[in-house]
Amino acid sequence: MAVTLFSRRYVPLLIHVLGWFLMGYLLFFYQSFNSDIQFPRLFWVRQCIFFGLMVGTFYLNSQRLVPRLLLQGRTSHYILSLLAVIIVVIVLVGCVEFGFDLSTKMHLAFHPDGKGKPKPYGWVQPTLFTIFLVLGISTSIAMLLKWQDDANLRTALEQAKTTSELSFLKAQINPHFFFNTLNNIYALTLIDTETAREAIHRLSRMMRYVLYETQSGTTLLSKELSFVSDYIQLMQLRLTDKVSVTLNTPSPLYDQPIAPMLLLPFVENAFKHGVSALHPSRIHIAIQQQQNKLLLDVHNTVFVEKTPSLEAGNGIGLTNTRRRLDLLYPDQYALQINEHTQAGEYHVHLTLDLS
Amino acid sequence: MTLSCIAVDDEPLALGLVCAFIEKTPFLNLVGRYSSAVEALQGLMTTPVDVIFLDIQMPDLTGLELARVLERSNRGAHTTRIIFTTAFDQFALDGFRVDALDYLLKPFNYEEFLRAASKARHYFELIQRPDPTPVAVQAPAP
Repeated sequence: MAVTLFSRRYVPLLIHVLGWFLMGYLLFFYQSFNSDIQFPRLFWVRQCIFFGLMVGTFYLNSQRLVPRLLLQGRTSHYILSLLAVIIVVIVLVGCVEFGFDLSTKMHLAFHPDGKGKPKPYGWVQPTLFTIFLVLGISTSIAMLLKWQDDANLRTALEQAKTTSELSFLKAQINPHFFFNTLNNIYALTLIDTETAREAIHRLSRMMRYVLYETQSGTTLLSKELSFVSDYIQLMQLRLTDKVSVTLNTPSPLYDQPIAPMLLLPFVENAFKHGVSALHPSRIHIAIQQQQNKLLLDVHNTVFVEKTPSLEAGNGIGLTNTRRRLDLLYPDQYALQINEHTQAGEYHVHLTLDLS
Repeated sequence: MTLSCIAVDDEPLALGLVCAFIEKTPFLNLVGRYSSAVEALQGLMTTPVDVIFLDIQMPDLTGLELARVLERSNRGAHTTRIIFTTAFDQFALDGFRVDALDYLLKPFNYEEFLRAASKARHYFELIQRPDPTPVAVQAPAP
């Protein structure tokens, strides 16, 4: 790990060194290897100065001009600065060329017999070409690095957003459920201590599940199902005989990992909307398994008038649950909600692929 | 003085508990118990009471809605006061907006219940004496 980190940190440096080595090679060796002409010594001095100027131009552009002007949206300033840099470099190279009188010396080197005329401005075109090349590469690399940074940042932000969203959506049970249940148990202690004891046991099991099981990302299907069953049993304590509740779970159960408290919102929702104090109502919950698929069906009676029944501002609503499913089981679930079936019921059907 | 009262709660056990507390209190007289606000409203049409122990979150008609209905029909006639019983503390503000006498957070014990009930008794004692007799301070004879 330490070795990888070490080498990774030096990769960009290595690339720069290699790049400059290549450029130096082209400037210093390429010409001399391909001919047996003796270049004047001052030519090498000129190449050294030019090489130094290119290195300076490269880093001035990539470290200062691009981040401070181009990336700040000051494009016109950037172009003016580049023009200024090009002019300065040309002027400096020109000073060297004329100061050393290189055109005459080079002409002599190529034509030892003294034929023809030296071209005093022959250096301008290749020099300009090299400057453009260096500036082009420098700008491209600087932009590329910037884009890469942006992309990394975007990925990191996306990840952080998903994590925080998940922890926000993370299964939470409605505190009112706890208080109302505790109140019912309080009442039970006066009349039926045996049932009260049982209810306290159930409630503590549920609390343990909510407090500890939801901390990790996954739990077992069997635990999730017994949690749902505890919830239903405790809710029944709070209901009158007008509501009939049935729960079917698969038996034998093939245990699989599942995200905790994924099923509860659908059950909560049934109790939230499917209960009336005046009319009889029915809540039917069926959970089945087909290989790696989990099928959940929740039917509940609907009442025409709005029913803000047992718990308003319920834990996490169905919209949030859908979002949670999107994040946890992308393309692995199908959720159909039929708000008014022919039997006059609200029907939720969830198919979840747990493989 | 004795106050007539009813209890309204959709949860049978919770209703049973409030009723047990009411029966335990000598100055409260339980005249009805209802598992829905709609039934309570019908009962109140025939026999007005002094105090209602009213749950808020109930299907069909919530306690707050019932309180608003009573507030509208209450004017001038018999004054019915409400004590809310609920697990939802965020409704406290709404409760005071409909001029509730007190607010009991579930689960509550008998002491808390009695404090609210005593508040109701105190209130009805006050309105029965519209002009309280000033306390005569006797100056010590010189």
